[in-house]
Amino acid sequence: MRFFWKLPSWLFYLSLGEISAIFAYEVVVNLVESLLVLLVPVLMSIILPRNLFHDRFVTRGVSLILLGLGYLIYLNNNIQASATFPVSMVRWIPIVGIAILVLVYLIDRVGFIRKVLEELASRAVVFLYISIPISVISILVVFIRNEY
Amino acid sequence: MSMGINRRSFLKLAGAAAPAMLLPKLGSLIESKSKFDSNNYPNIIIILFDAMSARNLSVYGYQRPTSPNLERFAERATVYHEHYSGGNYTIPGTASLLTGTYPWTNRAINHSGKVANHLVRNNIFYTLGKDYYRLAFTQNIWAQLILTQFRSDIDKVLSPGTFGELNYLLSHYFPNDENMAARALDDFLFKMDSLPASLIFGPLQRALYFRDSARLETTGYPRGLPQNVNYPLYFRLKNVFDGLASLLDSSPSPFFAYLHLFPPHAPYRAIDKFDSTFIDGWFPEKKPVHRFSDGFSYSKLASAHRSYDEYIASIDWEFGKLLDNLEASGIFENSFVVITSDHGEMFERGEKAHSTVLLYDPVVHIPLLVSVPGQQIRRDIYTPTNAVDILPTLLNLVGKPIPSWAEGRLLPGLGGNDDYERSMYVIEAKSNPAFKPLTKSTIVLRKGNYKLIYYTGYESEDTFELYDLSADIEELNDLFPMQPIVAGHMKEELLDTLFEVNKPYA
Repeated sequence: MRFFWKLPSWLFYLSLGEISAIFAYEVVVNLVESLLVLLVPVLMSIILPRNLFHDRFVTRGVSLILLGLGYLIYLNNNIQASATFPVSMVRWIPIVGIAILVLVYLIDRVGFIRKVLEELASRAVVFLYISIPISVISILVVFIRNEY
Repeated sequence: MSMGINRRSFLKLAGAAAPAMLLPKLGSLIESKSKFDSNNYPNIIIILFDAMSARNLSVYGYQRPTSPNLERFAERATVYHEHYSGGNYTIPGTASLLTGTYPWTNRAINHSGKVANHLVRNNIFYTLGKDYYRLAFTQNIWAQLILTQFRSDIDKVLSPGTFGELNYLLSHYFPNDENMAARALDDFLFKMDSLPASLIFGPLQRALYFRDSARLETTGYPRGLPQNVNYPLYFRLKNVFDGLASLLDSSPSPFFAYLHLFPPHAPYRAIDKFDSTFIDGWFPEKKPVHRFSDGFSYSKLASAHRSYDEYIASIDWEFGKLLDNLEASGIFENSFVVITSDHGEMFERGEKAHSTVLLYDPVVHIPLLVSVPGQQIRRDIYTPTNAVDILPTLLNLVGKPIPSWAEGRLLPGLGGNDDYERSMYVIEAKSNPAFKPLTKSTIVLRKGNYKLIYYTGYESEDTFELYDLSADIEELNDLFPMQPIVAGHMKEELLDTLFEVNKPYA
């Protein structure tokens, strides 16, 4: 979304090709971040007993990702430009992490929310049809720009 | 005797082949060295101090002793007393100097902006050519955006983090696409002065950077280490200047070095020797708050003004040591040394620093001192000059042709004439699209003693101010309504010029 927030100022002095190159870098970084986010529920489903995560992968995975991303947005908004390391925020990370896991477990027990999350997950698949080709093209663009 | 390949003969061959493989590399080194040593061109060194106003330098008569080492340098240099930048912040200021064209021509007018793609070869590195080893270093990321546009014409572009204490910039990991990587990564996804667009790596980078910056040793810097405030970069003045001395010492001659240092750009971080040294009871003149200013209080501006002066004195101190190093190594004697800035800094009329639409002298009147090889006496030039004059002057000094696209003139005293009535411009247009005519802008026309300031696009009606700098150096008495003849002529000239430069974009 921040890309579109910056777009008007880029249009002042960059060509469409240059803006596309910036977009390609952004997509590549987002792809790596998305894979890292996905890795968390995948690893949990491998490590934890089947009935804890694997058998409820969709609902628990979606709620874990949503809550986790929400917390990341909070961190992102609060680690602002100041020359101090956010010690108190880092101390809270394990506690918030455990709270998220508890919430994930509880959310899955509420039928209505579980249904909503399943519907959300099944509809979100459509984004893959857009994001995968754009990601592949972006990787190629960044690779070619840096190799040639 | 066996002619076949056995293990022993293979090892012998391999032993001989290993150094042989180095020969082409060695050969190219010798060729490179001899290529640069084979001509008699003197070196050219441009040292640019970012945001250094001529109004705050004792070498130009400022009452605080901020620049004794520049004064020492001036004893063997030509000192330009009425030198102006092309713009009032890094992008137009740097681009004007390096291209020899005004911002309305090269179109580097916006924050993070750039020289128009079709004009990229119109730069000082290209015009000096391959007779010179061309070297560029800046600590300013926006100046780096300009330099990386000229990448194919520069033999070595150092990363802004070179000589730094802490460097979390990412673009230097993409040397073949540094300009776009800087825009995408350092200036957007991992931007320090706003929310990073990267949700995972962004906060992680910030947290690590803040952790490391908190651990930095700040001995000798009571207000903290100097830093590039909008980007993750800290440095020590001593290390930067020592690094530059070593860099120049090890560069093949003849070289052209463009060294664009971030200080004295804010934040002002004086070394302990100069911190609080200018609590001297002197205060700058109080001026009326301008309607376009941010409305900073006088006390805040006076305090920032003092910190700025102390920072300049710190830089001058380190510059003195660099000067000693250059003299000791013999580089100074065989070099054109240019000291200048990309723009100034202002602390008056309610405005602080330089990102403003106001173009009063403190923000556009910059230093220019040029020492030619073997120069032993000081020369003072009072004719108005501009950053666009540096490119043609340097080319002329080393016997290179001056391209037709260059908009500057030869500097007086270095091949040019003393034309005091010459017209020259300073342009501010950061809110104007680069692809469109300038309709939202502040433009200065300096001609003789007079300075006309034109504000267009900010209010319903365009406005003008006119000052006679010979009688009113503080620009307090607006003569526009009182001197209609001078005002009318200058207004007509400025508007005619603006009409002409806007034509290709109309």
